[in-house]
Amino acid sequence: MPDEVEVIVPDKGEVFDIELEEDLLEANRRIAEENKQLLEKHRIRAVDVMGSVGSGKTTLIEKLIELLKDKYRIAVFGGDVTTTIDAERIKKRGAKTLQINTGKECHLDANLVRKALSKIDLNEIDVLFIENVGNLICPAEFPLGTDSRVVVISVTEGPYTPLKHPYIFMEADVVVINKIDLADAMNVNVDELEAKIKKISPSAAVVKTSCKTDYGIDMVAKALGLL
Amino acid sequence: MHEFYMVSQLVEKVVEEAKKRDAKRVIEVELEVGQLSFLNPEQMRFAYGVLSKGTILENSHLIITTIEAHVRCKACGFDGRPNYADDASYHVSAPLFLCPNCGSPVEVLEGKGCIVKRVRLEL
Repeated sequence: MPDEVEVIVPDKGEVFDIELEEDLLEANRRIAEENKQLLEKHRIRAVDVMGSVGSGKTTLIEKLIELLKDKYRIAVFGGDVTTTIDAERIKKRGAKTLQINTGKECHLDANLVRKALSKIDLNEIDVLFIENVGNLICPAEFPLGTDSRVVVISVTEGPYTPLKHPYIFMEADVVVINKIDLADAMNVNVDELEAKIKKISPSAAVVKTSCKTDYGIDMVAKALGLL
Repeated sequence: MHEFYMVSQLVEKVVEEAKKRDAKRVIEVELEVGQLSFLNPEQMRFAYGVLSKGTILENSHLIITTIEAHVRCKACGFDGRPNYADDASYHVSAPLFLCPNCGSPVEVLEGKGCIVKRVRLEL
């Protein structure tokens, strides 16, 4: 009796199929889950702020800091392809800021956020806003490990944003329609815009805001469970 | 938009598998892309052509299968495909995440992934 079990190996030149079943998005999701656990351990409420370029993401975060800074210790990660313009703005509001420049990527990913989390003292923070790269497509596919995800659009983008980019709205817990003070000038019906969002993302809370007049900022904070 | 990024991860993964098995070349790679992902198969094929050059994947064939969306309703138990907006302004039909049966919000079970299913190697 031979001691060794006979092993059949493929011959040279043989064609071989390997079943992989590996999700390429899984790696990001795994790191996002680790981020989530780390944030939970330090009792930090984290919000991923997504939206188009110029929709008012940074201004909304500035306004939320103003509203919440006596209640929470706030930090902000600013995601951009390049520059620190937004981070400088936020810093002036008194929140801890860290700029994440993606270089070329069109979105933040969980790994970049993990790196950023290792650079700050998590015991000194209650609320973390992560401003994603201005883009209505890619960020949606890369969860970062936050408690909630916000999509900010504005009436100056016209009435069709939810129709043109339906997919990002399905990832949102809160959708902000910003710059409603300009709705008349833009000839945009805000209620119709809201109905379009509700159709795509029925479970998302839709909040109308004007960062110019501060209208609705408290409602955003409430929708995020911060007030 | 991030097709290039995704395909570079795909190429990396397949090179690793091919090395592990000491393969001579990669013949075929089968990829499943969910309908609810943000990936355009046409752009993925283009990226594959560019990124596979000079690797063991060069001249291999990329097969992309689109996986339809599959949703479930917690309220009424509906399990199946979502309805799509027939609004002409969408041009591509957009999925609606309301239960086709009772109108409650649904959860997505399938259609968001980008999965490397199978790699065919020549040893």
